[in-house]
Amino acid sequence: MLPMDKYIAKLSGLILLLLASPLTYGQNLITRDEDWTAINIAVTDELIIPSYQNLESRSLELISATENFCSDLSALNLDSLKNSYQQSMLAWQAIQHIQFGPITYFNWNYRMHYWPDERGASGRQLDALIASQDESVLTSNAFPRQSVGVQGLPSLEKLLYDANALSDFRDNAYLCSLTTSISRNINEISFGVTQRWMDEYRALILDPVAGGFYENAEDLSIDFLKALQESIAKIRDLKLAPAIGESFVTTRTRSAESWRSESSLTNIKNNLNSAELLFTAYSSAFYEEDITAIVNVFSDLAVTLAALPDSMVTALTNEMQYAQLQTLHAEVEALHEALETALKNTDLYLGFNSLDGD
Amino acid sequence: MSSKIIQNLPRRSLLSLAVMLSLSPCLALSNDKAAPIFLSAATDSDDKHWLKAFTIENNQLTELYSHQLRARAHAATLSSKVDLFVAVARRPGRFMVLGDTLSGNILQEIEAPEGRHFYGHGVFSSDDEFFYTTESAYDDLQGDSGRIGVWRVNKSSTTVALERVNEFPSYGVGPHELLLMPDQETLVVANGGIRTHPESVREKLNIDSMQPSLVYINRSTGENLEQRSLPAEYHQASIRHLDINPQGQLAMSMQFEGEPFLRVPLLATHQRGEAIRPMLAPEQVQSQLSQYVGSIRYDESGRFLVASCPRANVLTFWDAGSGEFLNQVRARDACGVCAYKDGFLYSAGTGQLRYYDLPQQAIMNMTISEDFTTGLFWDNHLAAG
Repeated sequence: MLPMDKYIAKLSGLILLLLASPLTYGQNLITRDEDWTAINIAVTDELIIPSYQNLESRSLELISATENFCSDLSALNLDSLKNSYQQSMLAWQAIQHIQFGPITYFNWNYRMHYWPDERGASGRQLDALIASQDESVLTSNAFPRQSVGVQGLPSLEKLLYDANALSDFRDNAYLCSLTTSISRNINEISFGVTQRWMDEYRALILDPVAGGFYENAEDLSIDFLKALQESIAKIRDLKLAPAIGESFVTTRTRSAESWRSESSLTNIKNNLNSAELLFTAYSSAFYEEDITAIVNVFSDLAVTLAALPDSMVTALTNEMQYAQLQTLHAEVEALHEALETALKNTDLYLGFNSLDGD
Repeated sequence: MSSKIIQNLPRRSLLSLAVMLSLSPCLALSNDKAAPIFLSAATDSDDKHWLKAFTIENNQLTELYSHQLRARAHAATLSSKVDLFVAVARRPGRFMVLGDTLSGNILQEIEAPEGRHFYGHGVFSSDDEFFYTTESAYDDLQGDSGRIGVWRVNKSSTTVALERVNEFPSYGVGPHELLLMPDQETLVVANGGIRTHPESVREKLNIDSMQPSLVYINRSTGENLEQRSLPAEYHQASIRHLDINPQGQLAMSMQFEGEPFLRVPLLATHQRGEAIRPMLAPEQVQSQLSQYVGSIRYDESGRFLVASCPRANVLTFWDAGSGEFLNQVRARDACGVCAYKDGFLYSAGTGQLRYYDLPQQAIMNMTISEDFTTGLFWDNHLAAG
C-alpha cells in the first residue's frame, strides 16, 4: 500500500483536476463517467486491492505462527501467535468497510468476521465443536461448511485470549487442529477475495457498463460512498453505543468488538483511517464547505482517539476516559451527519428503499 | 394537506375506462386504449411526503397530480372502476386518504380506530362497495393481534367516504399485503408474523418466536378458510407481499429476519389446497439479495414474476410455473414494480422510473420531465389501473 502522504498526493492531482467551478447545491459535481471511473480505479488500485493483499499476507503469517505455537506450546509462542492474530485483525479492520463485491460471495464476510453475535451462538458452537473432537470437520473441504460463527477471527480470539489458553492447548490437542483450520480458512478467504478483485471486479471498475453489472461508473461509485457511510454508522451504532451504554454505571464491556484482546479502539482507529482515505478519494464529488466540515470532524476524531487507550475495557472503567468515549461517539455521529449533509447537497443518493424494512 | 393539481394535460376520460377487473393491484393493461394511471407514494429531499399520480403515453411520462401527506404512505390502491384511490400509511401509521382518481381531489382523510394501526396496504371489493385494510390491535401483546378492517364505501351524488363497519381477525400477527382472490369473495392475507407497537416505533418485538402465515378469509363472514405456513425452519421469513395471476396462482415475497448468511427462500407460490412452494435462486445470486424482497408482481401474461430487491440493487425475474430463477438486472434502490406492456414499469428510491422489456431483456428509458423526478425518492410500491 502507498504511504498515506504519497496516496494523498496522487489523489490530490485528480481532485484538482475534477474540482468544478462553484455550482448551486443539488447539482452533481462530477458529471462525466470517465471522471468517476478515474476515482474508482484509484481507489481500487491504491486502497482496496492493497488492503486485501495485506490481509492475505498477514494471514499467511498467522498460519506460520499457528504452526510454530502448535509445534512448541510455549508462552512465548502463544504471545507470538496472539500478535499475529492482532495483525490479521488490524488488516481486516482496514478493509472491513467494503461490504460489497467479492467479500459478499459465499458468505466470505460473515465467515471472516461474524460480529456482533448478539445471541452468543458462535461461542456455543465453538464449545460444541471442541467437545465433539471431530477431526473430520476440520479439513479444508469440510471446514468452510461449518457454522460461520466458528470459522473466522472472533473464534480465534476466543481460543487465544482465554485466561487458561496455554494450559487448555496443552491439555487438548484438538485446539491446535481447530486453530490451524481457522487460520487457513482466513487465509483462503483473503486469497479468494483478493484474486476476485484483481481478476474480475477490477475489470468491472474499468468498464462498468461492459461488465454488465453496474449501470454506469457513478452507480459503482455510490457503492463505495455507501460503504463509507455505512461503516461510520456501524462504528456509532454497533462498536460504540452498546458498550458505552447510557451512563458510566451501565457500561457493557463485552458488547465491545474485540474486547477479549482489548483492541476495540485500535479497530476503530483503523476503521476511521480507512474511511478518511476513502472520503479523500471521493472528495471532489462534494462541495467545498461540506469537505471542510468533514475534514474538521476527522481531525477532532484523531485528537480524541489519540487521548484514548487501545482498550475500550480500560477506558470504560475510568470515568475521565469514559467521558472521552462519549465525546468519540458524539464525533462519530457528527461525522455521519456531515457526510449525510454533503451527500444531500449533491444529487447522489445512497438509498431509500434499500434502507427500509417493509 | 396541500394539493397540487396539474391542469391542461392530455387526459383521457378515466370514467370511460372499461372496468378493469384485474386481480393484481398493479396491472396496466396493454390492450386498453386509454393510457394507464400510476400511483405511488414518495418522499422528497426536504423530507416532505407525497402521493403522486402519473400516466404514460407514447413513451412520455406525465405527472397528473401530487398531494402532500402528513407522513409516509406505503402503497396506494385503485378501486375496480379506477375512479377511487386509497393511500395507506406506512407501518405503524394511523392514517389513510381516499381520493378521486379522475380529478385527483382528496375526498377524505381517515384515522385508524382507537388501538389500531395500519400496515400500508388495503384492497377494494370487486364491486367497490367495501375496502379492507390490514391492521394491528397493538395493545394485544400476546395473541394474534392482526386484524382486517372492513370499511363501507358510502357514495351519494355529492360525496364519497369510507365508514368503518366491521373488523375480523387476520389469524396471525403483523398482516401486511392483502388481495382479493378470483372468486371475489375470498381475501388472501400475508401475516408477516412480526409484532410491533407504535410506542416502539418500528422495533420488531418477537423475532425469535414469529410465525408468519398465508391466510384465505371469507370477506363477508371473516371465516378462516385455509391457512398455510412455510416449513418451520423458515419461520423467520416474514411473508409481506402478494400478487395473483389470471390463473389464480398466488405469489408471495418474504424478508428474512434470521441470520444474514442462511440460504432461505424469499419467494414462493401457492395454489389453494396445496403446500406453499418456496423458490430459490442459484447460491451466488441468492446470497447477494440481503434476505429482502421489496415487491413482487406478475407480468401481464401471468407467466413471469418480477421481485424487486432494493438492498441488492437488482430486479430478479422468475418463471412462475416452474419456480425457476431466470435473470437479474441492476436497478439501484428499485422497489415499486408493475406489469406494463411486455414487461414491467419500476420505480426507485433514486427517483428513477423506468421500463424493463421482458422479450428484449433490456431497460428502456422514457421521456420524463426532470422536475418530476429530481430529488424524489419513490416509496415501496407502484399501483396502476
